[in-house]
Amino acid sequence: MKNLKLKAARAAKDLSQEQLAQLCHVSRQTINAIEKGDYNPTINLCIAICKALDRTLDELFWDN
Amino acid sequence: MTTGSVMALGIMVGVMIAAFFLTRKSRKEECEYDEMQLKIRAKGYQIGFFTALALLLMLVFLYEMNLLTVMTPGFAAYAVLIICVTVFTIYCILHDAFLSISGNAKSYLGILSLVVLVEGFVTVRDAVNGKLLENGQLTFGGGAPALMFVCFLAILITLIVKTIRNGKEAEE
Repeated sequence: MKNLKLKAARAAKDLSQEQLAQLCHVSRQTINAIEKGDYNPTINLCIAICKALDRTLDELFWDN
Repeated sequence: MTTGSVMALGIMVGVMIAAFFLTRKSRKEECEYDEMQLKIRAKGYQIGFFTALALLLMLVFLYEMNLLTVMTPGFAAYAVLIICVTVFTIYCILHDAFLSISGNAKSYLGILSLVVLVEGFVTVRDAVNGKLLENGQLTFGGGAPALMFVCFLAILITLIVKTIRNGKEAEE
């Protein structure tokens, strides 16, 4: 399932996948895979993404 | 063992030692692969291992039945090793786990192109001089450059295609 919340949050911060990847110390392809729903990140990476985007885990990774 | 085989073995050991020290140095500098890449590489090792297992079983069967006469058993075992490494590398390239986080595709493309050119030249030279086969069989001396040429060419083509696709994806 695609993570559109992450994509929207990244776009709101005006960051490219490459820039977000650098902030989280991962490859651009990993961010792309998370957004496309092809990869489930570990809690450590989720936290790193949340910190980079100034969002909470619930806002980005919790499905209602 | 012929002088050529000893030389080839010496070069291989030299390259392995150099690669060990080079990767050790770069590992100290920073963590090379992210969590997704490490997971993919683990799967790649598994695929490579089972490829080796399947090929070795096939080789035993073929030699027992006297069906494989085009290559010596020694070269066949070497071919299995190289094919496994190629399968692992191509799997990693296709799943974005070949290059490290800060890895540069251009430098790899340059090195691979050079290796393909050298191996291609040696293969053609051996074929022209009739050294590719010995007694109608592929041996380590004649077959190794040809096998390396084919495998590295496959890796190079995969890396080129993947780099172009990733470039387009990044633009989007």
